[in-house]
Amino acid sequence: MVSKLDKYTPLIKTALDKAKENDVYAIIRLQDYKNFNVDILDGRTEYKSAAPIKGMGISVFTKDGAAGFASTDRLDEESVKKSVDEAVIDMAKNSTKYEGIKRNTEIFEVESLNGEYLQSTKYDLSSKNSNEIEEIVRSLNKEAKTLDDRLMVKSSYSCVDETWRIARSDGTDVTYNMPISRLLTYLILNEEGKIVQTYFKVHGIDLGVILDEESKHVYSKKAKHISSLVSDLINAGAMKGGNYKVLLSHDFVGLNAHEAVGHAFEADWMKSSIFGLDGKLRKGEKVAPDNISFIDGPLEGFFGNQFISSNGVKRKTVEFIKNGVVADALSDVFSAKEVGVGINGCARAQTYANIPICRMSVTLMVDNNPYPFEKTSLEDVTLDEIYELLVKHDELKMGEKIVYPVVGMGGQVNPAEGKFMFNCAGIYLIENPKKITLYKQAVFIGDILGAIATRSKGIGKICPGDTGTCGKNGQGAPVSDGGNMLFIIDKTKDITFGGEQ
Amino acid sequence: MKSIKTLSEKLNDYMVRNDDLKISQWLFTFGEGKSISIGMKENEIGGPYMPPSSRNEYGGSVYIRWADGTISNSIINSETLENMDTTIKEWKALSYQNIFAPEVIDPLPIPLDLKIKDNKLVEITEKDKDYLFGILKFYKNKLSKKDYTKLLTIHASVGHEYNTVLNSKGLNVEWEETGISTWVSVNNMAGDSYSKRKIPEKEDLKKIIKEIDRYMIHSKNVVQMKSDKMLIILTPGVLADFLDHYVKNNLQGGLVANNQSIFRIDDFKLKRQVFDENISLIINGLKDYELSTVPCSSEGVPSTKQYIIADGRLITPFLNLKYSKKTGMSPTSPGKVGLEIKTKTSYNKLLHGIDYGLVVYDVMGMHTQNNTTGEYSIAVGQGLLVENGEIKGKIEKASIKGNLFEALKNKNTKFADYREDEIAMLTEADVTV
Repeated sequence: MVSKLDKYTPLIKTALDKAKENDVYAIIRLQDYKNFNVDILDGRTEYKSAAPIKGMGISVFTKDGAAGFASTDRLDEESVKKSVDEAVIDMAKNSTKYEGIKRNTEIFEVESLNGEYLQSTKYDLSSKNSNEIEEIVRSLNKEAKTLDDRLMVKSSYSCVDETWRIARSDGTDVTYNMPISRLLTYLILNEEGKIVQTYFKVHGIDLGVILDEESKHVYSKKAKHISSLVSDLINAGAMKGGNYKVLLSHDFVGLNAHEAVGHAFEADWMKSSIFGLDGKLRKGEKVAPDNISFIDGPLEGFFGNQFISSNGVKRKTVEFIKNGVVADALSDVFSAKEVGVGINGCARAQTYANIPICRMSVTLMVDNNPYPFEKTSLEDVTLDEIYELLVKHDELKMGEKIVYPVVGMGGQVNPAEGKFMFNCAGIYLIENPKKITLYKQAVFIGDILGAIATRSKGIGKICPGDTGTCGKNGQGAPVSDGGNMLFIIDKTKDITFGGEQ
Repeated sequence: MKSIKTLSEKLNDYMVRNDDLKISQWLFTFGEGKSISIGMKENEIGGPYMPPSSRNEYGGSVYIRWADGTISNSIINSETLENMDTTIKEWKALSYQNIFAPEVIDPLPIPLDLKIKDNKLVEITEKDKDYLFGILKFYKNKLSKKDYTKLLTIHASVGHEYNTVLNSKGLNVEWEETGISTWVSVNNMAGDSYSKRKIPEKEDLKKIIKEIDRYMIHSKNVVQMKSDKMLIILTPGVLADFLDHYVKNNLQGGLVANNQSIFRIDDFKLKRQVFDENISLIINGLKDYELSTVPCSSEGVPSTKQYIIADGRLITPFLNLKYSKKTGMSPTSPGKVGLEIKTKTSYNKLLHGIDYGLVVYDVMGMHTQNNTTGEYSIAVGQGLLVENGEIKGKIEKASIKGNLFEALKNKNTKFADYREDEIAMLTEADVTV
């Protein structure tokens, strides 16, 4: 197969030769990014665009490990040579005259890698023209609108075809792709001076998200569920803040894996992370119940999957908490030794002009021995049925309160202080199968160590969770998450719901 | 620049064709620039995650109205300019109908004498590779000796860019701009920044140290607090986050025009009172050396100074040409948007007026909040407990819940000058710990 980046082979050679001439080791990153976006508001096209991006990033390392970087979006010989000179002479070599410069020579020891690691997609972005895609999104938009005419429906569809080629001075020359596709549907109810807005997503890696019958079926079920939720939320009150027993759907289980735990295992943050001690991972420490593991790694077909790191190293599956014990970190070439783990290939860069940093890709929270559950979708089960199931498994006493957040709105973490937060569009307080009250959005904040040490139990098989763009150091990366279909977490002082006092 | 001339000539050629690629109007922006940066990550300068870096950027955006009434939006990169005929066909393939798609505008008087370039920054970007290391050294010397400092992270960057906005009606605005940005973070807890179009004075950098001191001297004294309804102070950075997320988002023309905002277009036409008369919101597109100061918007709308909210009354949403057409109101200026408060008090007076409350220095998860209602329920990232008007210490965790729109209507909400051009706000909120 001929890669679309093959034509840049002479330019890559120019960059590597120029680096050799300057007596430095180089990592060349070539990015070819194409996206297509269309926004439909109540059946009308609001915006349609494509944004092709191409460019080259050049990381260089002097023999004693001083680093420099340069980038250019002009892919011609003169610009590339100039950029290598800037990275080497103006940046890396100039910096060595300063005291306290960080040096890292780990890249010199890494094995070279060659080949193409392409995720196969069912549909190529060019298999439909922009007008055909626009019309399909319009019909999906109209379908949601027909559920409740009071609703304003905005559909934002985005499909990305992104390919990278990484070449290094050691002969590494590897190509990988990162296709993503997502239909985000916002439902807005604006009446009598009150506004409620929430959304649902269907996601994947290609146009199948809007073309395949299975995906359209998921879309229809979510549209019905969320339109009904929006209607209920318009008159919802505020819940009383405090500590509650919590039931999490797989969307929130995944959000928990990503925000509350995963970030604190990113090796480039280990000096300040609560899972680090003097910069080393606190390997072997028991931090969670025996039944709980947290895993991140490449999963073909998942939104945000990346087989190869931005430094040209294969990405490994990382079980960072295994059976409740700290086991590994999301490391890359430059952080692995310092942190005390192997190289797991977790470096990602948003664009050719960014420096790769340690990132998650697809992150899961897993119960190794969950309660069985025959349902395949939470849209097929009611809250009173779930409550009764929990009572049956002695996870709840009849009449015991439990909260169930719906529609994850994202979260944030401070790995240094061990604090995290999530938000939700609404939250159900279930007091018994007949008394279920919906409240409006409530933030939940927590202490990472206390929250993951709390007893928790998974229910059902592993399901994909939420998708999104994770922000770190000013860079965005497409990520997804997931876990068992449901998780129940005991009441703890370390997870607090904000609310009225 | 030769490439700009070539692109505009090519687009003009397509205006006299007689096929489906006939263009009726075009507009494009183009920029060419360079930036350099350097960082110190957790006490170490440079390294693989914050190496000294140089970035060259070349490109822009394009808007086309085709003769058949459709429009296209795309971006321009170096390959666009190499294969213009192919690219124009690709742009046409992306075209769509929108009844509110605007005409490009006739050239208007543009303020070209703005202070947006500092020759010293041009020199630093192009030649003086050592200046940014000097900034790092300054911060390191000042902060690494403080007893609270464990991990120091610093970033500094400068840039120099040429920009152009052209359209088929003869608009042709060119300008040269510079920028410098530097921020400091201590222990991933407290930080501050300087971002302008001119080189900072020593005093500007000293203010950053002073601001970090203000929080960090309390950081070792962790105190417990109780859940209650109480007075809280939103420090300027936090208040700016709240205003951006709730107020400015709801003032976006697209949301107002499409009935997705709490404000309706008639509210502006009737100048409805939405906040206390003490509060105004102003765009200042002419302010010297602000990063957001430019001669005109990317559509050619001239920069000026104008009220968005005056004395608590809605004047105009932020409008680009499309939503200007849809709402029938004039497009708004680009530029820095800030609060203008008629009656303020001193920050110390604000603090001393609190019997039991919280000073919020950082919030976590603003992006997760539903911005249409003004309601917030958000985690406090960094906060200090106040008792009897005095700071008692740093709190471990808390969430705050309230409604910003209600707070901005409330006469009991108070404002204070915190630093030059920076305002803090005192309001009441439910605090849960």
